[in-house]
Amino acid sequence: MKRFYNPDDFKLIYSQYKDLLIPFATLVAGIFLVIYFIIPQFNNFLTSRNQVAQENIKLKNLKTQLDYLTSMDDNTINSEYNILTNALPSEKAYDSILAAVYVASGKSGVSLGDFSFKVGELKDSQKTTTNLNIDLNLSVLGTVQGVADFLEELQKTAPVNQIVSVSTSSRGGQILVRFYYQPLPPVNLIDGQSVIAISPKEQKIIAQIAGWNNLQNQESVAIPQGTISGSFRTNPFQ
Amino acid sequence: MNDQINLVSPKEGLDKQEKTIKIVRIGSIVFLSVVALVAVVIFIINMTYNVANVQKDEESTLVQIEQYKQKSAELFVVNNRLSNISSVISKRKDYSSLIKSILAIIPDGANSNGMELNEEATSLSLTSTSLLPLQTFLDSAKSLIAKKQLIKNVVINYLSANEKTGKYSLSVEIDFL
Repeated sequence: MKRFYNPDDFKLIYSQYKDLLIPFATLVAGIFLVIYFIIPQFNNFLTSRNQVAQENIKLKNLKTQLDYLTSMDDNTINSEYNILTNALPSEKAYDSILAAVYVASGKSGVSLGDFSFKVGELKDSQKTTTNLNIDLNLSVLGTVQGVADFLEELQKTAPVNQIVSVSTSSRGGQILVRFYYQPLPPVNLIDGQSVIAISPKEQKIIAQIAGWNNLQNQESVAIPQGTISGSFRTNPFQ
Repeated sequence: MNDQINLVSPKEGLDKQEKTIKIVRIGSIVFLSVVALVAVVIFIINMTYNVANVQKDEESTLVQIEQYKQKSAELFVVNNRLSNISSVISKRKDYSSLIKSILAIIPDGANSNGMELNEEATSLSLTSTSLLPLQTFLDSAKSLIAKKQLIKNVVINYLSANEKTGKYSLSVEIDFL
């Protein structure tokens, strides 16, 4: 039987190419290194680079938030909190609404007639994100100019309100005012996402609201009271 | 004689082969060295681009932010109230200015009987013992429309005369800009 291969042939080939064997093995090792190490490591590098870039952005935001929080004055934020929670109460603040009407009438020089509330739902929805409201229908006794002054004052008086309709006559006017309130939202402080800096434009709005009437009569808050400017006390219940 | 016939001597051929082998050897070693160097460099770079380090920094910053929990909560509520109040302020109509603007164009001799203002429309009724003040009022309104100030349109609902009181009544509907 003839053998399929001849050992002498191998010996001949080996002796002929033995000098190239090591360089060949080296090349093969290099190619293996490229395929099984360098390419995966390079892919890993690209992925890591993207991840690091994203995490760096996140870190930068967190640092900015931290800087903002550390630089923020305690009294200022307390004061802003009080002003705004009084301008938009967290519940139906009837006393505050009546005080607002009295303040506006006092400042505009008109007399108040009958009034009626449209209460709406008695149970507040804690999950709502939109503003809830109470409608107040009231009659004002005075001149048309007096009614206009009353409306102007009412718009600058807390709680935040909106005139829905006005009907004037020679004796005064009938006004439908919508007072707003909203339950406090659940505070979610995950990953510092809730720390949003107050812009200069928003600061202007706060300053404008701080000048409103009837900001003192407000709901009690758990946070220490800050200084509130531009307000005066005329709560008829106190 | 053989040496003279064969142009390449066996010794010369052997030298050339050895030279080629040498080049191949050097080339393969250089190739492997470069590959190894690249592998080491890329490995080191990967070690330095470690997400865990950044995440560790993030965690420590979050711990620091946690210390300002009360402030963060207040700020969150402040932002929430601000956006809600701003939305109310932006949508409310300044009826006070509208009334004052209308009063400003009512001439002497005419009296405002009543005004109705709401989201949809504004209506006004005037009375006067003469038609002239009513005409003056309409002219003023017309002038404002022409100047594109305050008023967009005025529609006369009716103009009537009452023999008993001797007064003229004018009722108009006003569209504001």
